[in-house]
Amino acid sequence: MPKELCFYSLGTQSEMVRRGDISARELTHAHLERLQTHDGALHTSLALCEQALEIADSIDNQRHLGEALGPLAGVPLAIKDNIVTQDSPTTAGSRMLHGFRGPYEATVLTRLKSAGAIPLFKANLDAFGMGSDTSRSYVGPSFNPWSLAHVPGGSSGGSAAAVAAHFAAGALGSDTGGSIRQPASFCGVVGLKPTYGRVSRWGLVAYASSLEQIGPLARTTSDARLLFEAMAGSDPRDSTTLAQALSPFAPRDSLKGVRLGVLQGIEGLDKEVEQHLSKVYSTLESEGAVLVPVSLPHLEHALSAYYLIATAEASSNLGRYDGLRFGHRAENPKDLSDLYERSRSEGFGEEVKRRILLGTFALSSGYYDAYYERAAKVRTLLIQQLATVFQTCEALLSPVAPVLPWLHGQHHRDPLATYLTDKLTVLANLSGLPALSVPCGLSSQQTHSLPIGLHLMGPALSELSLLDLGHWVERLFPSPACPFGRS
Amino acid sequence: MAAPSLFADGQGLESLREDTLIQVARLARLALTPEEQALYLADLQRFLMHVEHLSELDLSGVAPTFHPLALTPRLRPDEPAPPLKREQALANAPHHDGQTFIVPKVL
Repeated sequence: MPKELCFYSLGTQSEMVRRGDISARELTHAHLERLQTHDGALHTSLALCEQALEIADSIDNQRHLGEALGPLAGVPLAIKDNIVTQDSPTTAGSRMLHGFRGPYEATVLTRLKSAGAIPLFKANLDAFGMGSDTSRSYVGPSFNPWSLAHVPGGSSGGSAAAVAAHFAAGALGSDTGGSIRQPASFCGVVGLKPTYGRVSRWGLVAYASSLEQIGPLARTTSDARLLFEAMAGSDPRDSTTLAQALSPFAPRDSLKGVRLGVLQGIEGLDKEVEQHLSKVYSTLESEGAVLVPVSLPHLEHALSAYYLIATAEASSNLGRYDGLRFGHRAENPKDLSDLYERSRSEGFGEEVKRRILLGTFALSSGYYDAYYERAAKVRTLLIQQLATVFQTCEALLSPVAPVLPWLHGQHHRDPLATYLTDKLTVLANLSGLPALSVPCGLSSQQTHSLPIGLHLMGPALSELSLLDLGHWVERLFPSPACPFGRS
Repeated sequence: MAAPSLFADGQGLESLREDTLIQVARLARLALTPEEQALYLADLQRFLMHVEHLSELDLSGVAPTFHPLALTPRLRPDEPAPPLKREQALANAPHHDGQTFIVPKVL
């Protein structure tokens, strides 16, 4: 029975376009229609990419001329709105960049387009990537397609919700402290944060430069792999990109003898999440995996270190928003100081200002040693501890978040409560190691059948190994399809 | 600005003072309303209380990490490339005259 086009996997959609079963224009149009029909409820899209249909037509033309099509031919993608596109504004979810049109295209997009992908729309986010539930967007929140009362996670909440709701075949997000993986977990999709340096940050609106990476969100690990392979690579315009190309990875034919670390001693872990993950671990063990309990003595300290480092880097990166050359400028400034202060105060939202203040404090004279530098030393300890873990384990497992998706507005008056939910994901950003979020089932009906994600972190450059493990998890824990917007 | 010894003995933890926050806001070029000052002061104080546990750690002999992976800077060839065109550079300017950005007097 023919499915609606949007319900096929990304890989299948591209195959169909390459074979000529459908045109790229048909596929693009189908997604735009679905977006128009259903996004009112989810608010994932901020702006359409104006060239989408033109790009689709050029792909169809190529096929008509018998030219070879790329591995992502015709695949429509949602692009987190902190990634610069040439055919739509890039607002970073903030009043500060309302209407901003970047003069260049992010490297990842050039790469994905040359593989045939079609950027379809810009996805909602917490402003500047600062938030964990997409409630901190200048234009309002996004909603979780599994339950509209609950948050989709953040800061790539628009991207995750769009993929779960089949508005796009896949999406790009960015991850500074968990911002791809946590919304992926909350929306029941796959999210990958690559090894630091795998994917160019040229064209990513900077939040914390030593922590962040652009990465893919998709409904399956195979789809995520296709996106990742097209995105990854050295870029002369980002000197922090790695020279190493992707090494091929042979899929595991079983989990027998695969050593998997299981993170212990997680404070504040929701009972239901803990019980669910226990079952996941038991199943992996019954498949032959060897589970190794792992304790990280500085787990709680890592979160504090993260917030000091991230906000410090943010305070520096966001110094460029001065109202002079781009971005919001206050009206009738008295003088230059007034222009700076009012432009920034009007342009930035509450959470962004909070983090700038925190970061400025951590870097300021008299406090630098006790805060920023101390946090950077904790970072060293964590990196050393994780290196030891990966000497004996192929991956380190944990929940993605210690809690289930929360209700809209639940944490609005308590930012610290939200920060604490990042404690498991920040480890990968601090260490630069790759990490994957894979759906591993739903919570009980009493807790609204919300998705739960398994977190897999691996040694540097092990993305394909993690995706392979993730593929096993997908097969062992098939989740029902998201019921949103299905007739 | 002399820093209060926040980590002196744990018990004697001095909370972030209002005048420190005001100075930090000035450094960050942010103009805060009195309500915002109160809000951010409380938030930062709570946060700093939480991260106070970092002071318990013995970090003597530990070097700080500012970059997650040992990166050797790779230089690109010293070849000139076309710069951003003027219209592109001015495209998002809040105030310009077609040639330059217009800003309040600096000196």
